[in-house]
Amino acid sequence: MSEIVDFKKLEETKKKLNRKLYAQAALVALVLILVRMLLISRDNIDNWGLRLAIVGVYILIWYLFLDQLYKRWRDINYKDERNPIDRFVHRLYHNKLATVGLFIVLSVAILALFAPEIALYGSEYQADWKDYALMPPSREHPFGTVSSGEDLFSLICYGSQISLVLGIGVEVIVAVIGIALGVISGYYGGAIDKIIHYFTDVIMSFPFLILVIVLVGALRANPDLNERIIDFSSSLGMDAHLLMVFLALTVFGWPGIFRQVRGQVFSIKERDYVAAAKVVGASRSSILFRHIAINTLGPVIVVMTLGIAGVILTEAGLSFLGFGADITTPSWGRLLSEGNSFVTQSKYLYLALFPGIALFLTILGFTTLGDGIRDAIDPRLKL
Amino acid sequence: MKDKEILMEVKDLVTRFYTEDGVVKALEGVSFTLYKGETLALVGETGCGKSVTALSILRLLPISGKTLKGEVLFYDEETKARLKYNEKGPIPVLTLEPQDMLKLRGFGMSLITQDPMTSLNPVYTVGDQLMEVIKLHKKLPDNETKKLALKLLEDVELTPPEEIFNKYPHQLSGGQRQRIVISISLAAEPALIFADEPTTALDVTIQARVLELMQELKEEFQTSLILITHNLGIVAETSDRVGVMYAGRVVEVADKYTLFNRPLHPYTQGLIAAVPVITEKREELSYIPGTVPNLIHPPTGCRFHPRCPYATDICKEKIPELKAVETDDHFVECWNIDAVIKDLAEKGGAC
Amino acid sequence: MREYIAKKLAIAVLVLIGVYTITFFLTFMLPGDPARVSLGQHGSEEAVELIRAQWGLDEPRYVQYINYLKGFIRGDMGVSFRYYPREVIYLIRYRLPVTAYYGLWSIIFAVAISVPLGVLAAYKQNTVIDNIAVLISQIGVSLPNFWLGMMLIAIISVKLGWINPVPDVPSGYIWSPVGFFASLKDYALPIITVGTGMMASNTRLTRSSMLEVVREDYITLARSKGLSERVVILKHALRNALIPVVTNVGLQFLLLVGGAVLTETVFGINGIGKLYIDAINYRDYPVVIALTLIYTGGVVIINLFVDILYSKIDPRVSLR
Repeated sequence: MSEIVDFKKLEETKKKLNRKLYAQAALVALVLILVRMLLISRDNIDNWGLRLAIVGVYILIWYLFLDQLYKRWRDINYKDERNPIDRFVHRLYHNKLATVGLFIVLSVAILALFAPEIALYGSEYQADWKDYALMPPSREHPFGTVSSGEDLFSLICYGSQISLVLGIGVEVIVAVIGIALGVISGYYGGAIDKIIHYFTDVIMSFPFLILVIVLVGALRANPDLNERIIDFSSSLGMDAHLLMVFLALTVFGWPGIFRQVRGQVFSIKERDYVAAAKVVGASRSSILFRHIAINTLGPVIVVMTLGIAGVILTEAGLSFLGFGADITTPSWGRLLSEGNSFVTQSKYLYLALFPGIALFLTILGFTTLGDGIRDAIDPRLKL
Repeated sequence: MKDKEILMEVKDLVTRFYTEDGVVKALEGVSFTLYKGETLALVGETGCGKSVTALSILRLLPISGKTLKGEVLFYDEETKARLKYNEKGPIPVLTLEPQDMLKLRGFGMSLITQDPMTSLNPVYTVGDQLMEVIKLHKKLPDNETKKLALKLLEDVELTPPEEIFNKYPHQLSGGQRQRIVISISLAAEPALIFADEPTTALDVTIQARVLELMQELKEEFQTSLILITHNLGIVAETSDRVGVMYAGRVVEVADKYTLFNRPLHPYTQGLIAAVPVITEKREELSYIPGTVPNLIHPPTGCRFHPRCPYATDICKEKIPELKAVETDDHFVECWNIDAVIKDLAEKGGAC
Repeated sequence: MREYIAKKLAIAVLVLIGVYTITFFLTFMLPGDPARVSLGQHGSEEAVELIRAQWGLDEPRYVQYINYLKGFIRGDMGVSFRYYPREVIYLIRYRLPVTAYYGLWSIIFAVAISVPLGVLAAYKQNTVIDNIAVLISQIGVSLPNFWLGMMLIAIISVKLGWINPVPDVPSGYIWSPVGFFASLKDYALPIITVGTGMMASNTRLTRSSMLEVVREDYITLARSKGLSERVVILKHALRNALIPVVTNVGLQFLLLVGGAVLTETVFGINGIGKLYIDAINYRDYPVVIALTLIYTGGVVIINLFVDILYSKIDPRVSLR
């Protein structure tokens, strides 16, 4: 039993191996990304079936790469122990519903990343499409066409980008703000806490809907304001009204995470290991980040995942009402509003059916995944 | 010991928990006998199965637990009458119908749980929770019920009883809450009370008083007590007989004095030896080498064999049985008991 | 208790004033002149000026701000620009009953199904019933309610022809003792549309809350007394488990607003939601401001109500 282990040397070797691994991984990732950007595109490959196949192979290569990367990393860092990532993954797979959710989320992500390649038709509107308006599903248009003549299937593909960009974008920003403020507020308490808390209360009691609607409404009809914001947002590749929605969702989103984090900080900061760190003389900021922030990460990820679902749903609702994406942006919500006008005629049911299914499945995916992550992190044995 | 009446016999209880990490073999054949009017202490380290034993007998295991085998024979006449059990002989507790089990609980056997901070329902008054038991098992007119409740509160030294009666659990201290739990367990005057580490969560200053109180009440209400604890001091103070548990089995049973003066099972010996004695001069604390076994993958045969200085081949293969040794009420389970006794004789008798 | 209410109301007034201010100035950011909008392109300049004067739009902003506030406190919510000279109160009084009707029934529907279902699912954990309940609630929570409405119309109204998509019942009738129940059939689709999401979220919460509570020590102690499982669950477990559910239901009242707007757009119902959206589109400032204030006021009252209810259920909570 008494084999003298030189921990310092072990750590150094680990560090060296890790660095080597990261460098190799970065190189491979770079190559793969270049391949994607230069080689795999609509222009290069005309045949849709062939495109799909190539995208599939590409994704497979990525999967193998990541799998290898993980295995090697695990060998370096967790050689004989059961590591928490494995346990987490195991628990997640055990949960059938969550696995389905994960599958859906990954599929939508792939759809969004490869939308131009998976879609049947390009995103540039062609004038002669007008002749093909409102055609029911057929071989050329598996989901039919909309009133402008665009192919619904392709629109749905591009729409996935809107949903995911908005969802992930909003939640990431919200998380950063929420965690930062939550940690500060929770840790320092007192006056700082009261002020920030007051702000959040005001935000939370404000009628969200109005703000968005009025913002968008104001923007729409005010020419100068419109110009400037449209320029700014096209530089980001987004339509202006959607940008307003994005901002509004961000402003109203962070109180949720803030409260969660703040509550956790309160309970964690009283725990013994924080006191221990203080006794050893760790600096305040290091305590803040290393001990406290790391521990709030788990539940925050859960809230974020569920938050993405919420953002996607809200954006769809707003676009449906006409206060979000405009005619040029294929948001699923906007597609649904068109479907709504035709809902009483069964012939055109497909207009409402397909975007709705896409929206529903995506939201379902994120909610089940979020729940699954929550159960996997904190398994209070629901046998 | 012939004029002691048997109240309960427990034979070969096997209980398992089905968890995500595997099957926990918590009880692997627990057996002991309880006599009327006595305090039997069940001692052992955390995780050895003492609480699980109580829950198995009361059939209050959580969903993941199942008692697979065993017999529990309960000889109380009053309970038999209540259950309208007409057969001769004891009540077979483990095979009772659910409705009968409901009559048994509270009336025949009751439970004192460990942590007073969480054992009472926070949304109902203490008085309400006490009256529940009374109403369930005693058919009394309403005002009599309340009078009895108030009397019980006085018995556990909670005064003034009217005030306490209307309070909510969060308005009372830990010691007060534990007294409430005790009063609840006594309310229907059961023949047997399981006390699961009743004082572990209390302040030291209160522990002594609560223990004393339990002793007094036990005498007054003529109840038998199974006291579950890991504290040998409490065992010495309050018990009549002691059962030592290790990893899901009862390894030794004896009366208190015999156990402390002449422990025969190697585990018990290690346990008693580990208690530091202030009046003796010692250089090092003595301890039992090794660690408590993993109950999902327990050792084969006698579960103590990896840590036992007397272990031989047969210990790895078969679990020994509890047998009377030296006197007819000192029970030990060990294959090599003769070697142990020989050793003791050589070392000069007591530990 | 009274102090608590007073304190909360005082804060509420502050919040309301804040919201009023922000909304007031935001609506003025909306370009387009209400007078012009209502007269259309053909109105002459003089006519527009006349109307502006009549509506008080020619006065400086802050004057309008104060005037409206003064009026509101007196109970005068002004006159709608769009439906001139109809008073705002009149419009609200006509449409609120409709929205309130299906809104209330949605909550009844949601709670009546979700609580028993959640308790049952927790009690029979991991059996078929539990799995179905979990599945239903997952789906219900993820289903966009406006899409559900559309699908319901498409299938039940159009394909099957069972129910008329647009409820056609006079608002006086639906709140009468008979009409309250008889109109259910007409409003079934909107009620299901709004209620499903709420039902799903409540079921999940009730179930998980019950699962937690049932593992507490006091439940074991209750069982050890010899109480029947039914009493243990319904008396001891349920009350503790419902505590978070009460808060959730309170929250759902607030979400009704968003639900109303969407639902009324899908079903073409003439309720508060539609009034709101139209008011914004038509620059009907008095209506927008009045409804915003009413909504915020409603938020405050409901939060207050939930707090009080909470303290009644859980004796550990005291109103500070």
